[in-house]
Amino acid sequence: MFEMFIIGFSQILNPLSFSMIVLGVLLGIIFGVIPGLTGSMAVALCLPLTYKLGAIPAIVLIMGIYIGGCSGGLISAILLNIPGTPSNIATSYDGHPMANRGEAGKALGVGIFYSFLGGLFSFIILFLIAEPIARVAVKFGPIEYFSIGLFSLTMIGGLSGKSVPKGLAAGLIGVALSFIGMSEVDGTPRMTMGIVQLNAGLQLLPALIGLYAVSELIKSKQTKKIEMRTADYKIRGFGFTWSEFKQQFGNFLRSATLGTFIGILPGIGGITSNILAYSVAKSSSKHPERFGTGIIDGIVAPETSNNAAVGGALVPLLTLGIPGDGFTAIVLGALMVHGLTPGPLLMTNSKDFVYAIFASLVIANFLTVFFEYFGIKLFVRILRVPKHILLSVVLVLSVVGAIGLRNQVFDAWTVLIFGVVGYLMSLLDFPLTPIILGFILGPIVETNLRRALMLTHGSVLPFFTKPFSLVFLILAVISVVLAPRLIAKSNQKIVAPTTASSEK
Amino acid sequence: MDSHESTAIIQTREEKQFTMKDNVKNLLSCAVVFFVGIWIYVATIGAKSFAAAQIQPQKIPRIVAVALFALGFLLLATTILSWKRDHGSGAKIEVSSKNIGWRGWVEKNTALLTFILIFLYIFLMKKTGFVTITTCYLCLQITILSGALSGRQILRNFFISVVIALIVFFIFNKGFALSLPLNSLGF
Repeated sequence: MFEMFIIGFSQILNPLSFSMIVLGVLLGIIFGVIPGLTGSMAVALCLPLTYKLGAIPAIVLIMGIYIGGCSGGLISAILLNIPGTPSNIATSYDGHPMANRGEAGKALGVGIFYSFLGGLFSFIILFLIAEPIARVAVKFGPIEYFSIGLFSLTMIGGLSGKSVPKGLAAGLIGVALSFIGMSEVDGTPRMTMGIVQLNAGLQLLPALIGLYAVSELIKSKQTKKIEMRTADYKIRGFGFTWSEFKQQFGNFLRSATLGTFIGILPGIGGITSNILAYSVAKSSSKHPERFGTGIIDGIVAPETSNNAAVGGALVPLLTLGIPGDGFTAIVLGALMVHGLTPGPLLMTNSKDFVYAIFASLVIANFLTVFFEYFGIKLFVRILRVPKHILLSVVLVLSVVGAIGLRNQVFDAWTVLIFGVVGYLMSLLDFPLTPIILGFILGPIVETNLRRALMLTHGSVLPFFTKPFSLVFLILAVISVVLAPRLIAKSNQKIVAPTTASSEK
Repeated sequence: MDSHESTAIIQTREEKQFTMKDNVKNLLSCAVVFFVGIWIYVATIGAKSFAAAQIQPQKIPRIVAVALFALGFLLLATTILSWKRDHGSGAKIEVSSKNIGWRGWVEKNTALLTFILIFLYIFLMKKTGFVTITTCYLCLQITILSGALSGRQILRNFFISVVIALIVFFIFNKGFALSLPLNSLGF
């Protein structure tokens, strides 16, 4: 493994790849800092660039955006009480009260440092378990893949929204959209409505850009300049003492484990993990009443867990080809553009490439700390950049990216259609992540079911007699049964601290 | 790092109060779910494989359609129950009939105008060429999103749009050899 890491580092420590990581991290932090802009938009912005790059510089650029974007949101959450991304919601509960007390530097230092540690923890887990999982997964056949796909579908539908039926419906709508075009098993055209261009199906990347970037632009309202005061943000060291570090070790370990585990589960990412880690830290604390008043425990938990979810989300993507969240879905699309299909075969046949990704994660994590620590003034200034210009440029680059994919203007229409679908769905409170994950999982479930039934001559018994398949089918049932309870609990936890802070 | 008490002029989105009631949203959601279910069913008519297969290509889409119908009915049932409860409590929706000017109309219909702009942007790209249509699109989109409708501000937006359109064109068309639609003048 050590030798592979050296090979991985040697592949990215060249001027082009390194500058791509730097660019990615900076863009990720910038888009994370500005509330309303997302890492997915930053990817849409960079996508046309990646077509002409090699696979490694392209993917390390996207990894840089991923890592930077996850951490950047803590700056506005602490200084302005406006989380830059949904993954930083819980950070503002204690971060902003600390900032108001004149401890913004300490809050930022703690947030930046534990974001880094959380990311590093999950990468170590990723490095340790990815290869063994891939070695097992390489023996999986269509029966196991069908069961894993089904389990993933129930997870995304049940756990990524406020309402179970809407989450499931969103996932199924995504599945339905994936059926457009020729069926993979026998090449029969379906649901094409006579449009020849649809025979090849809808492309993943224009769909992603439409759902995540264009729908945000359509949703955006007029912006007006208003003056907001940011808190004093002087940082000395990382703002905490050695004894505080020792006190927080248990909180860190628990939050990092929780974040990594949640990241591994398909469809649930940093958003759930940061709120859940905050709630667990609060309920395990000897002084739960102090949460929400501005204590570092309330920053350590969410910032560790949301960054730990990053490494976790890459586990199913790299080992099984199943994305863990919306962003890893984009990574999947970007890999496919470069002719690489994530899954156990990528892990076994293109080890050097996978270790280059691992190495880029470590470097991006270090660069994120460096840029956030020394560039905090710059990022606060970036909040002044007019959002109406940024959003408009993102749209232009999204269209360029879509056209550049196959040199077809038709793909730009896919971007618009998915943008409108995303806008209307979010108006009606349908979660968007299940749509895109359903879009990816649909063909996995269908193709493997059809292949499996061909192999078993129509018998469904092997789905229950093969141990891995049975385990995932049981997990699918459990997730459907438990989802409503978890959603109800999660909603309570989101409401509770907000209410508490508004009461103060 | 120096101690720094600063003020930052930032952009905040002027969020409109979302007034669509949950029950109305849920009813519309049911309609969407039923519509997609029906569309899947209709769109898979005639999709039969000539190959011998255990499952025909229309089978799984139709299972998805049935599952969507079931979820639609579940949503409908919960909406009706919730509607009855709200009706019993005498909850009323207040409708504002405030008169708004054309600036207000633009602000109120930002989403619709943005959609129309993107539609025209893609539709006219082949005919007018990338640089021309991108300049027009950016100028109008920035104007609508900023709400700055005075002549001077529009002129400034136009200048910004020309610069951005040219930069994007030269980077991707000339630099990265991406094939972007061109007009007869070559841009």
